[in-house]
Amino acid sequence: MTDVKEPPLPPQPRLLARDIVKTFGANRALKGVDLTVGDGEVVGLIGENGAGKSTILNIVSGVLPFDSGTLQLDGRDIAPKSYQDANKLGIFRVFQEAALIDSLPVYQNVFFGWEHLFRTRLGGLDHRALRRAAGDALGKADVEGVDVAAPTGQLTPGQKQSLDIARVTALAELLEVERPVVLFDEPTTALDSEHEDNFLLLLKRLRGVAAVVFVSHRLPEIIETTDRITVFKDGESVADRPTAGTDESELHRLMVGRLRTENYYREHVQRAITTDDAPRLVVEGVAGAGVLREATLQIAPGEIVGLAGTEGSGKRVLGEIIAGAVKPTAGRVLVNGREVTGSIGDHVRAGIAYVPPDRSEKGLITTSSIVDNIQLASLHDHFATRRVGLWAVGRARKVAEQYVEELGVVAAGIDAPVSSLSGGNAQKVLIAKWLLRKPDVLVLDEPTQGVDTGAREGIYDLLRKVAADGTSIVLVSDDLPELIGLSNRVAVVTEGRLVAVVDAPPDDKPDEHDLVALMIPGTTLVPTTTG
Amino acid sequence: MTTELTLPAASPDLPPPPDTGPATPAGALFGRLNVVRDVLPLAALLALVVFFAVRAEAFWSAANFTLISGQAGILLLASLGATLVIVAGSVDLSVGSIALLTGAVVASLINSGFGSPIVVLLIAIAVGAAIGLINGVVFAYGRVPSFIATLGTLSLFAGIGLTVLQGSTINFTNQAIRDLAIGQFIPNIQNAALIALAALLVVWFLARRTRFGLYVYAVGGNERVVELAGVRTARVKVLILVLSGITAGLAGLLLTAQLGAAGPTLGSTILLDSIAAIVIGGTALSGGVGGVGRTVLGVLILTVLSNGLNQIGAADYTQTIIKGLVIIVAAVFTMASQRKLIVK
Repeated sequence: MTDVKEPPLPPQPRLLARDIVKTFGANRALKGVDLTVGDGEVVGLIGENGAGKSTILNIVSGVLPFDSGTLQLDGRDIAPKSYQDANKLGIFRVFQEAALIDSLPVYQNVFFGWEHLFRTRLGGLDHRALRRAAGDALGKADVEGVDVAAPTGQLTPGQKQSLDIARVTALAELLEVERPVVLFDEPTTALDSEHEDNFLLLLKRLRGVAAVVFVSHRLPEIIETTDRITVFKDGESVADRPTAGTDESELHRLMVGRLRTENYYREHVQRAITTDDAPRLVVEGVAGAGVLREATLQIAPGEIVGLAGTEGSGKRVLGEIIAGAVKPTAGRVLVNGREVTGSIGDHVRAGIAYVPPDRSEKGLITTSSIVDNIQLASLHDHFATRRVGLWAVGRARKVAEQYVEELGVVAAGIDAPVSSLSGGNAQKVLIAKWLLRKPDVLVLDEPTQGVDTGAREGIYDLLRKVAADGTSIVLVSDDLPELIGLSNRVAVVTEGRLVAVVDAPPDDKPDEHDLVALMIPGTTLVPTTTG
Repeated sequence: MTTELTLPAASPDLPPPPDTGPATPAGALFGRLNVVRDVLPLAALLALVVFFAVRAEAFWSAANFTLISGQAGILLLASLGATLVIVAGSVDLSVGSIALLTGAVVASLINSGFGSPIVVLLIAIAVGAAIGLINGVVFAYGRVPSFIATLGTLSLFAGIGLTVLQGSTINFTNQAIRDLAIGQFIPNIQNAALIALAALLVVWFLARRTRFGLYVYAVGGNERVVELAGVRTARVKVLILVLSGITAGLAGLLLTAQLGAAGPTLGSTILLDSIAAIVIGGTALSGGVGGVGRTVLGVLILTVLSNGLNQIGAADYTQTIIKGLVIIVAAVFTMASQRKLIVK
């Protein structure tokens, strides 16, 4: 035996992720992030959409492999290859939507995937043992009023939530994990406030018996429940600090803030808007989708109006109603003084264009070529005869080529499939599809999501140019600096109501903090100016 | 054919497209040449032809070429509309039943005095279109998945067809109508093949030179995107199934003309053979990619394979086994090339 004294170890986190890198094709989703959780600690993980929160949870829980970096549990390197693999190590996850199978009875959901631990002597599934174990588990987790034999679909959302969490503790016990690591991925997004309270109670109960990572968009609940907060931004960890002593607006700034170069948003070419012009777009008392309750707004030709609001505030629905993607339950939308009703096709014909968020799901057909995507919205008038629909292939190609060149889309040619493009270039194709229609009103929802800086500036240039040509732009964005920088005015939607319209002239842009204060419900309205 | 009436080059409200002509230039096509997807089916066809030509004397003969042209023509017809259904991400399981019902209607009409080939051709198109319309409405407006909608009508139309036939075979002797399929307007090519080629041109034109065609591909690629572009997708979906009904109806007519009779088993192999031809050609069942050009290859591979196996004396059940294996191999390759496309 040698007598070498080891230096005292620093207090070790239970879970440690350091310098984790993950790339999807050309897209670096994680550029070396850090995340640590101590025993009995609740760590909040926040960041914008696309910041990499879900990716790191996927990596830690074995759903995705990582490219490089260190992932350790209790000081030992781990690389779980599947979710079950992670479970065996003691890592559990509560997924974004309650991951329960409605058609199965409750007890089968509790230990779903681990049925092989409940075998009869003949090798069949031992329903009785499974039911008993599930009953015990729910009892221990204080889930009340749930019949373990009932179909899971009959449970209330709150009961499902409790079940989802009880499942984690039950599984941990079954696998003889004493102190699990539990990952929550935005578990409250689908819940109303009552169930949210219920969930937060459950979360508090976990504190002390588990190490918890809690991802949420809702900053108040993050502040209320966590000990420490880690902030991700564009695939990097930008902050890690104790919850005590921080507040919502600081967190918000950390999530979205970036050092702004001068005229990054092309403020110097922002058009001055005269109110003498007849409004191009009028929105009168619209409501819809059960979220938006009342919004009234007028937009002048060539004006850019940003819609600000927290997730679920209704700002996105307002954009969708203007675009025709969602039917309003009240109120009306007028373009150039004429009311627009009916299908989204009628809105397109009335001169409205809509660049939806999530371009690969809603904006572009990724298996199709650039030219086919660009012409898709204009075949009823520009590129085909009205009745028979003979297709002016040559004209469509010419226009596509012109836009690809004008917008600087980097591609092998207009026949290249959209799936071969980078995010920024794909976004330009999506915008080109609508610009060629020379729309009167252009609605853009998150136009720079997943778009790198260079392409962003290209898109900003483009929007300024489009506005200068007289198109009115409605911009929905979670990126506050962008919203403020680009807009002539910012409309704030809070809890379904358009509560304020803030002027944003180039030389006097409103402060982010003030806008955040308006966005968060319950704060008193600061006096506002309207244009 | 009537559908050709919609093809005048001059359009009412639009100048004809400028000089570009066939605007998907060969360069663009070959620039994106996908070895697995584009070369393999052609290589397989050539290999089959060479193999059978060496192994079976009778294979490489004018008489056999004539025979193959007729068989391939009818299968191609049945697969044309079905290809667009699959490109749109759906499936039409009722093509065989449509062929049976159309064949039955046509055969009984011939025996009650309808003797003109043109009239009969128009009737087949009308019957196919009407049946396809039922499929389309159930699918698009009833919002029933195409698999289920056409599974139901598969049985429904077959039942009606059998009722028309009263469960037995209707024979007829009208040579002019039989010549629709087996006559040789061009020596050694059965008229069925000529009609199929004409229909191929029409469907290709619809798919590649009309707004409808682009919508078909777009719906198969991502229907939500098409809706958000302001397109009424329901109409497109109805039209797709109408087209599939028309080509299946024509196939039913030609089968009847070929046999000189319509019986209860008419068209019973059409459904599986047409889907097989489409998949072997390289059109992906997931939608959005493929086309009738590829289906021609698939039809030829399938027809040559079955004809060649007959020529070398392979038993029926051996043929069935080989056909099954070919379909599976083709599907594996199509999936592989699809994946490449997505990863890229």
